[in-house]
Amino acid sequence: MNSLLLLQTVLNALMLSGLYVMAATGLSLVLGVLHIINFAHGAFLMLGAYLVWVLVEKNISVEYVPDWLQAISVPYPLAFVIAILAIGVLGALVNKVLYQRFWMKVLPCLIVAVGLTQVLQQGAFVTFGIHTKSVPTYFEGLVEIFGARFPVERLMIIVVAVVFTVGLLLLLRYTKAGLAMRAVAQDSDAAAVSGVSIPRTATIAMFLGCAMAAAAAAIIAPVFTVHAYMAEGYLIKAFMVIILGGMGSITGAIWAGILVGFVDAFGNVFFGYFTQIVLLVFVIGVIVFKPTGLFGGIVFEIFTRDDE
Amino acid sequence: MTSQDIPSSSKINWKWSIGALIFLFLVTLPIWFKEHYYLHAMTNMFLHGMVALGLRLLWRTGLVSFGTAGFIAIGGYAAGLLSRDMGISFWLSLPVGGLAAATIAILIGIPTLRLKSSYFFLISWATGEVIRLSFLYLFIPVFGGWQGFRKIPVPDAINIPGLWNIDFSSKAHWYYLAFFLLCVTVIIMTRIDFSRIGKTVVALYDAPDLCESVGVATMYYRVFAFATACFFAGVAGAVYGSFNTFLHPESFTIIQSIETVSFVIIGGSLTVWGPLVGVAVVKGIAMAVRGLGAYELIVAGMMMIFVMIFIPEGISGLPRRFKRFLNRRKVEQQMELSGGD
Repeated sequence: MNSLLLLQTVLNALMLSGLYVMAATGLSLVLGVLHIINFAHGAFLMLGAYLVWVLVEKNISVEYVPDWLQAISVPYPLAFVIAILAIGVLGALVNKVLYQRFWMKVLPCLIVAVGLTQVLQQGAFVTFGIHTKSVPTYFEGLVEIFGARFPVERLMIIVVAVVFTVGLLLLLRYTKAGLAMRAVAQDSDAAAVSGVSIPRTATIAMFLGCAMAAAAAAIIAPVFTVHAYMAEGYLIKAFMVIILGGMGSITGAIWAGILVGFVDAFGNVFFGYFTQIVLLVFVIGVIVFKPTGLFGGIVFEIFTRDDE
Repeated sequence: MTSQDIPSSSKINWKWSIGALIFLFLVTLPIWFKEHYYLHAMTNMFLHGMVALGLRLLWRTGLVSFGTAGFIAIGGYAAGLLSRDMGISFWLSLPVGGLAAATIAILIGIPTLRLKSSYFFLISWATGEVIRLSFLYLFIPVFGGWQGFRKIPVPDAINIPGLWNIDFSSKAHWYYLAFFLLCVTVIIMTRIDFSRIGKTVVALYDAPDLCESVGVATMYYRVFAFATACFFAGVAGAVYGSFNTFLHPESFTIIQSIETVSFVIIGGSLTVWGPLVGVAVVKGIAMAVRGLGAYELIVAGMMMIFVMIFIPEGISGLPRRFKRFLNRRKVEQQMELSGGD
């Protein structure tokens, strides 16, 4: 194979890595702090993409969307910010209304999340119809990187992923809320004894996790198509990433996201869909033989204990 | 004085009489409703009921499988291969389809069922995906890939001389086949429930650590539950494949797996009737309101959330809850009366 194709594949792999890292870090954060499996993570991602579409597009004729929302059309960067904040707030609300009732009960909470996913995804399907939507491109043009041509919008996925992931890491490392989240993730009882408000910390974590999902959705909305079940592929990839990276570990999720992104991009070029099967079998093997993930890390309580 | 001490005042055994009435209604249903639509929908409901009954056993061990659709597909493809390509009778390939699903379940279950429920959820999901993708992208000449698995033959005719020739040309024949299989499943599941295995399974859900400490082979029961669930899923898949004469891997995604789980959740898992109530409620609403279509999943999702929050034992647990409530009222009234004296 020539070096140009190799470079092109590497760039695509970086883009996919960025996407997976963004989707998986949010999921991992929620899993670590709330001790629940947020199956609805993909649904939030999908909602974020639709929100960007509704905000950016001028003439949408969708029956159930309120008129004032249909009438406004904002520039893409503003829609990006609004989508992140709105989906983050929605996640925090869902946490307050639904997830908090099932603190430390994994299976019931998982079932509720699954029900919520179904309602949101099928709701979006009913509302927006079967046709896929596309958001007009904001970052136009191509850049040439060592001879390989790469669309700017795809490059922006990498940039946004790096900015948001580094931002999340800094937030976890240097702010008081981040300290609280790390404490709850490590030992929720000890954190509660030390005066950390667990419901508040959980809400913040849920806000951040869903905001990460919305950021991923907002940046991929112009590149890929938007439809009600778009998130299913990302959701299973995000789960694969957090399994490989160690459940609830953010840095592990980053490395595993890059790994899965590269395997995906190169595998699809050389072996086609066979890669997906091999990757899934590999992930099952990792769960069975090394549940802490490939990159070390701790195993959370929900994975060492049965539900009551 | 506890609620159990109060004798029931009614002489009629309501539970059995209602059950017998429903049974009679279902047996005679093809006479009342001749429309193909209802018979088709009811046949699908019976198949869903079989799968849901299997999942209930697994749920009672404290596990939930999100890969059921994959095992339905295995049953359908295995039975289809036998009856289409090898010319083996449907009546033999039906149990073989179930056994194929159960064998794969055992192979997957032995290393993975020792893990906790949170891990098993992920593994079952991944397994379902692997099975679906395998049927899509591997052995395309055999499985058909994106073309789907076509031309599955209908079962051989059963001729009851002078009475009825069941040649599966009408929907009513399929209806009775599915109904018969569902009845067999209900009987087997009831037997399991009242046997030592069933009691152990409940104990596994309530106190897994205690079970292990008194020497119950936890793994054995979990593998048994998973294999049984997948066996019935496989049998249902075999019937489903022959019923539609066509299988496509895209009919067996996570959405279908979630649907079967939702029956168990909504109906409740305390009794054998629970999942059947779940199927009847979810699919019955969809069948009765023909325009529901795309809204069916929304209704099911909302019911899942609602049931999980307000009635965790499911809809089938409502009469029990109501009876307990009445009994408590009665006790309070009696206490008040005796206090008044």
